[in-house]
Amino acid sequence: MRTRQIPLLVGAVIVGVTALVALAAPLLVPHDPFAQNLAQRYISPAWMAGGSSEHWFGTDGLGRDYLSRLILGARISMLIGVATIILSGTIGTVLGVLGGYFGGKVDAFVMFIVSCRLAIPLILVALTVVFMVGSSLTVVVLTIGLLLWERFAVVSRAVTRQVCGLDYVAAAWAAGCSRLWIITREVLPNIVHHLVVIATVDMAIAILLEASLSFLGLGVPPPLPSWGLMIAEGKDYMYFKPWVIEIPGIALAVLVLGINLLGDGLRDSLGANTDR
Amino acid sequence: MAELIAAANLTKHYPTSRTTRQMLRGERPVVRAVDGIDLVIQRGESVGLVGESGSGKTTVGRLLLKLTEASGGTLNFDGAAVSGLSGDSLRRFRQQAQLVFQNPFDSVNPRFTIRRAVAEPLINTGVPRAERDGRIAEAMRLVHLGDFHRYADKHPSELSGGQLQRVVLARALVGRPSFLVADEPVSMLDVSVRAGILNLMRELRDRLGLTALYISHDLTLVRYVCERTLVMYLGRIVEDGPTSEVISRPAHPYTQALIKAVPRPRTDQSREDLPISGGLANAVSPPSGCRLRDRCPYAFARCAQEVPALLEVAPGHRAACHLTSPANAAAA
Repeated sequence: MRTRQIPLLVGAVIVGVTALVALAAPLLVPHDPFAQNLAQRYISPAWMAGGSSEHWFGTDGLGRDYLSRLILGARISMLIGVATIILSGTIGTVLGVLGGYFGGKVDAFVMFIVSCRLAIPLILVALTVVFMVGSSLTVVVLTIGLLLWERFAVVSRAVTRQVCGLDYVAAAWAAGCSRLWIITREVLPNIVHHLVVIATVDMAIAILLEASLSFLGLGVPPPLPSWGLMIAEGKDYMYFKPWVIEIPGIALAVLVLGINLLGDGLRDSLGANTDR
Repeated sequence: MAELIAAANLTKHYPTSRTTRQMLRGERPVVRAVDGIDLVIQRGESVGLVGESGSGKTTVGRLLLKLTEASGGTLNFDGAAVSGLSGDSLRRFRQQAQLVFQNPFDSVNPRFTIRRAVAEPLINTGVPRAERDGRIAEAMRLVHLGDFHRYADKHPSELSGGQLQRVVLARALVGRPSFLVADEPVSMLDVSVRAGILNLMRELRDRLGLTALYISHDLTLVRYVCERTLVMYLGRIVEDGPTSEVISRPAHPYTQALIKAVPRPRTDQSREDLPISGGLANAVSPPSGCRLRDRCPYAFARCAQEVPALLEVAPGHRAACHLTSPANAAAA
């Protein structure tokens, strides 16, 4: 195996395991992640003094099993990450490909929308939306998804322009193919490897954004366990029980790192097939 | 012979960026890529179009195929005005007029198999699925990739440049076109495979009776494949005649320079003898009169005042130069 494939493998394993855990969460949780037991608050994890194998990662301030909440939290994080990039990827790719393909006024319009989007402070908008309609998983996904498409748009526009300059697009045009045909058959398959990389970058950003929003109390509403929310709930105890923020913090950092490694690896290995 | 292509005063001007002063004055400077050319191609004729980079050869090719919209002039294909084509009639035209590119590595979608790439012109012109494989195999045989099934499911990255250029030719031929534009078809290929492609093109010319326009900066290609040659300089045709005539008795100083510039092994002629020096003049504001006059050693007063017309110097051989026009033969 070549050394440059190692990051891809590490990333794929991290993301793959997290995805599996997220999918099988209800089967994996050792305890009910919502069951409170105030007599058992802040039990230490198994490897620390006072810990037990009953609660591997200890319990939180309401006596809920921390491992179970972490597992369910993986589900929330992955759900937000995937749902967001599907939404933002669709918006951004459509805009970018149209702008890149048609150029001229369409392109100017697309770039104007992108500039407008870049002028919007994400956290402030999220704050306003949550204030106005209340917080829920759907609201978080919609807010992040509707705001996080600019990278997709900029990249897909740039690579579309590049691909459109190649002779096979002219050949398809000369062969009498329609514009829709050219965009879907000639352009999209040849830019998709760039979009996969953007998808991983944006997925990591979306997951971190959700964590930030949850930390600020604007994300998924309790008692749903999001990793950001777990950090927020534990922050008062961080000097006394540092593991309450360390465990979800490490989980978040490892997942984001894994997604980024996967993206970098995919860029390298997918690009190699098409560049000559 | 009937005319297949007839262009009159065909023009393509590209807008360029304006300075603030030009914007305030309402001026719209343009690059005169193609500046009023008249061109007739007979059915079954192979015509070469030569000129240096930037002379507008490629734009002419794109105009003839309606890949670029002309800024002015008329173009008839098989008796019908090309500018008026749309929808189904445009699709029929696209099937009739095909294109071969310079860079084979860029001209086949890297995600397609060879079978899929060659099939493209058929899919969009409603050839039934059952017929397609036969047509593809036929086209592949024409370009000597007869062992079709060896290539069919490969991707472009698995083929060599020469093979890929044959695939591009097969794609161009699969719809049984009547007109083919080949834009520098061998200039990106290794010298060793050029001859193969050139032989193939000559063979296709003879076997299919294809009408074709070969665009090249290389007179040797044109001499090999084309019976008639056009020479372009800065958006205009400066010479037009039978290839052998144009090469052996070039009438225009520019053509003379082009022929002298062809590299030959062990020649006694040094490059210093080239009558034309310097680079292409500016296509945004070309010289008045004859566009070559800045670079032409024979230029005289009339060249700055009057645009030379394309006049006959011998039967079937025309040149746009005041030197060869009957009225001025004496003055020169």
